[in-house]
Amino acid sequence: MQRNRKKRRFDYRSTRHWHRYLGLLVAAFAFVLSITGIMLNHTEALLLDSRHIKHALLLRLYGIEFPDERVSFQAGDHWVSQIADHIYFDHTHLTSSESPICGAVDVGDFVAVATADSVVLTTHDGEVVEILGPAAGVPSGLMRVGKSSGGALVVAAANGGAFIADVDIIAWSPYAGSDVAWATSNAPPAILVEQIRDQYLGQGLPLERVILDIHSGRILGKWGVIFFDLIAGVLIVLGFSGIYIYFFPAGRRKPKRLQTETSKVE
Amino acid sequence: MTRCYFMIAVVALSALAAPVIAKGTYQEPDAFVAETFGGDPPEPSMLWIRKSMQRDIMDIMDRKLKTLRLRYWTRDGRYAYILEEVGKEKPITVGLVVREGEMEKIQILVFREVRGWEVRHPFFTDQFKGVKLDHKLRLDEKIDGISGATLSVRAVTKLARLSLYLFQHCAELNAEKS
Repeated sequence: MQRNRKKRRFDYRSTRHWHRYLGLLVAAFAFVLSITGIMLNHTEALLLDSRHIKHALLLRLYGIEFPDERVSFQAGDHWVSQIADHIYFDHTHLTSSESPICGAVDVGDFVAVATADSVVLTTHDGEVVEILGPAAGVPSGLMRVGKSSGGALVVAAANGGAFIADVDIIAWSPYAGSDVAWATSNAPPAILVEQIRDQYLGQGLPLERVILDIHSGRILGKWGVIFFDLIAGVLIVLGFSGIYIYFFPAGRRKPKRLQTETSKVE
Repeated sequence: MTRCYFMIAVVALSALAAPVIAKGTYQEPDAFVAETFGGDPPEPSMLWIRKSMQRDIMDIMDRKLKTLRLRYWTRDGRYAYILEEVGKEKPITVGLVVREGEMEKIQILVFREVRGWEVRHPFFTDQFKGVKLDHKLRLDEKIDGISGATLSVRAVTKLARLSLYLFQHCAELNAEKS
């Protein structure tokens, strides 16, 4: 027996057809929304907030990158590096500074890290002792930092004047000596760069953030959010069309053409 | 009618420019210290922050102090401090003067935030005059806030409490020295 198979053609007047094809169109997104929604409902049980992703491509998508431009200075046994706005003492984060670092020197009990507008004084364990700014007598527009032959801290400002600190680095006075060994930038050991890189990038991205952004479409940028809004709109339409089809099945509805023919006979 | 449009444009531009104008350095910190001591500032002194102090500071500031020592200037029973606290995103630099455990003067020196700059006006800072610290390390008088500047008000109030707390230790230290 040969079955006469009718070719299904899209009838734009049929709610059933609209419902079917729109359903097919958004099915994959409905799965994504449902699965991510369920995952987000159980964030703690699934440990989404404590799991992290470190995939380079994903980190780049979120703008988390380790900059190529970085400056490092060796101060005694320690290294001080600036990466973007962050200053690191060896591989630990010391402080944040929008001003560029101009040097670091080991001065006895302290390590002095100079930026254009302040001197950060630290212990050899990397604890900040004091941040010296204009109120502490440090001139603004620092260009260089170094050590005099006597081991005292010296800074040079953009206007050409140099200042020397006392032993406790409390008071400053003008200095005209030429015996200053100025700090110069150096390339830190590769292993230290790797450690700083790990610190800079942090633990990576929390899995919860990624799932949340997939759920909202934000992972594709602002257009992704609008696209997922549209998908949500289509799902609402599908809900209404499903209700309509349930209460008014095709068999119980008279086609318009049949209705007009019946009225003609009467 | 043209005049009316012109006036609206001027008012709108002024409203947009206000936060930009409000941001900035009102007084250099060293100038504040010099002014406080009549143009002849004393040598700075240092207060080392002990672990026991960090607990109280944590209570006052909701965070530990980032530095191990604090600079202050003192003469004739007056103690001047330059302290910083973040309002919303950026630090507000404040000059504070304490005398005999009472707040004598608060002045906003550098304001870097876009909002909340109203705290620099005397109608706000004058409220702190004569205020003391109670045994719970709180101010003994209520400070009225400013709508739209809640975080800046909070930051300045914290610094007022901190300076009064630091005064207790600085005065104790100076008494031991003398």
